[in-house]
Amino acid sequence: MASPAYDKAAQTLLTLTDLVVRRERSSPRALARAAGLPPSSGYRALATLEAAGLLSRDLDGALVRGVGAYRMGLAAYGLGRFADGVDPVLDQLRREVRRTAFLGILQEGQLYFGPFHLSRGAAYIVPPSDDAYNVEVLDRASGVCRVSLLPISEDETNTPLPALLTPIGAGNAGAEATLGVLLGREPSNALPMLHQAMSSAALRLQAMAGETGKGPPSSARRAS
Amino acid sequence: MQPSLKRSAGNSTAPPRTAPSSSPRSGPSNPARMAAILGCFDADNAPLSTGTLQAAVSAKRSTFFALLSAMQEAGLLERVGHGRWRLGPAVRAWAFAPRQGRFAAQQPVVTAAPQGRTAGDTVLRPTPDWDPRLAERVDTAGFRRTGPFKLGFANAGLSNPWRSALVASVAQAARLHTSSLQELVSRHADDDPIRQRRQIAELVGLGIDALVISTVASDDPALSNVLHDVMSENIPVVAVDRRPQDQGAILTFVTASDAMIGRSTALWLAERLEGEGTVWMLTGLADTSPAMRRAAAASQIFNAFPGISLVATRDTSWTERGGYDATGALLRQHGPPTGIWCDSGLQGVGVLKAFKQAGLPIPPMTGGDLNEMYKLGIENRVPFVAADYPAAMGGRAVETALAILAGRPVTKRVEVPVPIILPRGMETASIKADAWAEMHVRWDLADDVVLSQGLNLQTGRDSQSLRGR
Repeated sequence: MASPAYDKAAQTLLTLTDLVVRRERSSPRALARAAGLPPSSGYRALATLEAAGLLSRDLDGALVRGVGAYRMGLAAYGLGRFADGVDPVLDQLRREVRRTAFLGILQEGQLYFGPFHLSRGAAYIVPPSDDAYNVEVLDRASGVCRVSLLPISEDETNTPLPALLTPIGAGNAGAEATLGVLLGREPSNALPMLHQAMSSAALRLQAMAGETGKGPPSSARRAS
Repeated sequence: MQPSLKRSAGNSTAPPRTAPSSSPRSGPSNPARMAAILGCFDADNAPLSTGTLQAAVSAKRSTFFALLSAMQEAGLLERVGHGRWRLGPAVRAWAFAPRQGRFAAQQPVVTAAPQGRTAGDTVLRPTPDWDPRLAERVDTAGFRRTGPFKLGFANAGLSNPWRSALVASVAQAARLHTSSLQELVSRHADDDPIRQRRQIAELVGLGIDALVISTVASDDPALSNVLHDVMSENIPVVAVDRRPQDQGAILTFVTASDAMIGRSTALWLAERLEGEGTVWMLTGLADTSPAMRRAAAASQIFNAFPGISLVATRDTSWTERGGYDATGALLRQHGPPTGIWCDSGLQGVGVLKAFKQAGLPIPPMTGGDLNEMYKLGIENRVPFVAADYPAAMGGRAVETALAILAGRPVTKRVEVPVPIILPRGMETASIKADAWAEMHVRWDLADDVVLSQGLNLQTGRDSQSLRGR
């Protein structure tokens, strides 16, 4: 059994990496307070996590989850090889389609949101939380599935999210990485462009991950 | 004549050094040790032995096992069979990561399907083609060594506020990585290529483990030769912001898409002018790679609009004075244009001030970066678009250099995203704002602040505390 000091260190690590997502744009002081830490300890812990890459600054200087955090998060699913491609590929994709572009994890019929790029405006839907979503496939064409993401949580304000998904690679224990775009009410003539942009982005992510060949994998690459 | 490159004794063969520690007196904190343990696992989460994990942290055996136990209890690690571990379920949640917090914070969470404009109906794409170097991996295994490291930064100069912001970003990253970075040695060449070559030799002589460089000039064979020599000394070279034309002289290049900046700002201007009018192109500093690439991308866009006439192109040295003087001369020569393309607000503020002083209406223009550009643009209701060239790339360059020294693979090109910033009501068919200028400007900060340097500008006191650790 661990001593309280080590338990506290583990909780500090988890709490701060959680708070930067749940309390976006909070100051280090506010984050420290929310984590129940004295300011000096809070600053020190935040700087430690920033140096470790678990937190980073966005272009405006606000603390966000860092590359190291989502790399480890994806690695925990056996999908860490896609981490390096996230920023360049998703940023380009969201500019091309003008929609939220994300890397998701499919596991046992459910989708978990991974890193995502978005921008200002109503067309960019913010993934509401890191909860799981049931995936209802509506149709599929050229390796891209149009789906409805159904929230599992009982929060009544959550409504289904329409999205396009294209699986890009297998991880551990049945986990699959999927590239995704969150849709609004798309006119049907926009879908071919979205499919094209997603297919190109999927190939780029696969290339950056050192994947050979294209096509949705059907089973996990290795057993857990 | 090229300066000779001699490393200080003991560094020429990159010998292993003693294990790093973040604080010589107290050692790493427990969260730092936990982060180090978590950082051991590979992209596939292959199980690791207890011994492997223990080697990654400097801690007594009893402390190490107490760390493991606490991490297991918190779900950060899970045990796989006897004496083997892998990342645990709590770490999976970290995959959820907004990559631009501000954008998310500016709007409420949308859970109903929104109405959106049709994507893909643009005449010209604002984004350039995909650069395959973003996916091209560089083998760094030969540069791997044990820290703590000494990093050299050969900076072109401090001729404008953006360059100072770049230096601040490099210094901030160095302060954050004190556990692995023993020393950052910076040299500023005052835009003198000969001086920069001498300074590189000096840095190598001081025993640096890696060199970060922002070059004075792009096409400088003598500098390329020096950098090849540096690499042959087993010192990786990371270019930031400005690179030599000879890409074999560097290992990787940390930048932002200059083509995207040139292309999207020119497209906005052309659409704002409805494809008709006279345009001046006020470029940055001659012979530097960002200025050349932005201007080439912008020219390509303007050429696609037959009604746009490029009446003049001038270098401005990316200074307010350069923009001011060029504007005065061009006004005398050609009269006011219908639009002005600047590749940065560094000279853009000079343009704005010259028009104001002449008592002329300010035409639609481009250029961001500088806080004063936003202040003047908004105060004077100027139609403008800004693409902030992120000074935060300095920090990314430091992180990239440290990744190389750790033997982690990096890509041939590393890009930091460039946000498009517009005043409200100024979007065009193709160019939409990532952020509104009215939200982006900092009225409470000095005119010469560069808003994209990645430091916490909002809470100076907090930022100082973090930086001062």
